Amino acid sequence: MRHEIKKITKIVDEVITFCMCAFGATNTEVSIERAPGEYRVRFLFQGVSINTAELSDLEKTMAVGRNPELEDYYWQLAGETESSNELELIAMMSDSATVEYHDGILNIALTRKL
Amino acid sequence: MGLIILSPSGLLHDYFAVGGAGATLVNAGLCGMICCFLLKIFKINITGPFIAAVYTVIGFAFFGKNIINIWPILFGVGIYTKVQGVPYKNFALVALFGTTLAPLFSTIAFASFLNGWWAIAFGCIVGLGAGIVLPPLASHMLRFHDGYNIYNIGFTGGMIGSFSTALLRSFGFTIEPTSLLTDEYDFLMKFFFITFFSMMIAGGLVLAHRSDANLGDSIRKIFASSGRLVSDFTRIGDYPSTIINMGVMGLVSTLFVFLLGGAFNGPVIGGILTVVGFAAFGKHPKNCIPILLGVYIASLLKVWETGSTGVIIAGLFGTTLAPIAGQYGLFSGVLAGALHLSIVMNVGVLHGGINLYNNGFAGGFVAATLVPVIDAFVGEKKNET
Repeated sequence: MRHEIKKITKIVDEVITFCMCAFGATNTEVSIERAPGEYRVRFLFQGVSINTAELSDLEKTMAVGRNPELEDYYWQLAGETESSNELELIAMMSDSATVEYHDGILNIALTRKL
Repeated sequence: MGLIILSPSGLLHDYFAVGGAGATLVNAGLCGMICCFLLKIFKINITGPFIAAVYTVIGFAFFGKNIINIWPILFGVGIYTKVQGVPYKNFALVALFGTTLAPLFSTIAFASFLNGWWAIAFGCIVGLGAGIVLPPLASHMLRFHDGYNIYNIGFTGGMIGSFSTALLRSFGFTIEPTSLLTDEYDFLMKFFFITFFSMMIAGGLVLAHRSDANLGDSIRKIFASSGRLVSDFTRIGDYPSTIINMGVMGLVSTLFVFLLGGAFNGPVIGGILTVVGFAAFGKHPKNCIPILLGVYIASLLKVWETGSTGVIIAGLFGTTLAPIAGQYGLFSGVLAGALHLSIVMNVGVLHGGINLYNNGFAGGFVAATLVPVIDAFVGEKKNET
């Protein structure tokens, strides 16, 4: 796969930008793990302010699933602006995504197969 | 049909004027079927971007794309995917939109100083070459305008077309924009398309009624979207709300043509169908009407006649800048539309009409110039969720 590392860093850039701008995250931790056959990216955001509807929309958006028909063309758009988000594109670049929120802490875990 | 296939097909060759209504409609139908066939054999899901691509190809099959000249681009993209070792479906969207450069083949094969099979062979080689370089360039060009120009392949095609035209002109080829238009089928086409768009709205309402989804909620989500790439309304909303939005945008576009006193010729129909297609992939009344308004106001102040085909298609295709209105509001959208009219009337000479999405080419420059300025003075809005 070409540009694989750059795609991972674009994903990280987009998710962090979004959660800091839209949800006001005050503390951020990121973990990128190269496992056999896949990348695992975990985000932990603290100080997040998010309501039930926003969480539901986020979960729905991240559930789109891998879409190579669009990913190979549009991936360079991820992480490019702070005024609008490309979360749907991030979901299209991920094979699986889980979103968990509890007491101001937002966890997002993404898996991207190679 | 023979006349259509043998025409240079660059901007603006209205196929109604070239081959008549029957041949034009058959050409549009067959081009649409070729697209659907490709989606079928490559097992591609029908999502917003592909709805936009199919409608765009059908729309431009009224003035520039035909059942012969689209193939070199489609095969060129195929060669790129073979070389890169990726499935064709990964770049099928680029291939379909990439047929913007279809006149490259037609112009060289049928309207150059070369003759016979040599001309056709050279046209094929140049068309294939354009298709091969399209995918990497299209992906890279996105960063130029950050997704605020929805017709990104139009911008990419404009770059490739300008390079190709400059090279060809330096070897003695004559490539200039022409204007061949007819209003002969105006009434028939208006009747047909108003009926078609009304049926889309009715169909969407029926589908929504049969599903469990909340239509109002889906429409609200679509309207809340800025439309910046990548905004797939079949996912942001759902299929019924997307189909309704497509029908509504068809009627809004038709109303725009009526208000400006224009006629339904090939390019205008192409513009309307492209707007309808992109109503599944970024366009809705809220982010398009400011652009249409901007083009209309600018046409009153500038040298071009308001009801001319040039101004009308600048408005319709100018909605490529809809994300600017969607992101930064009404005034920014009007400004973008007004600026777009001047730019689009001046960039065509660079590629000599070889790039059919001339408005996408112009839109790239407008978006890349305007967005940073607006962002600096208007300021960022809250990130969408």
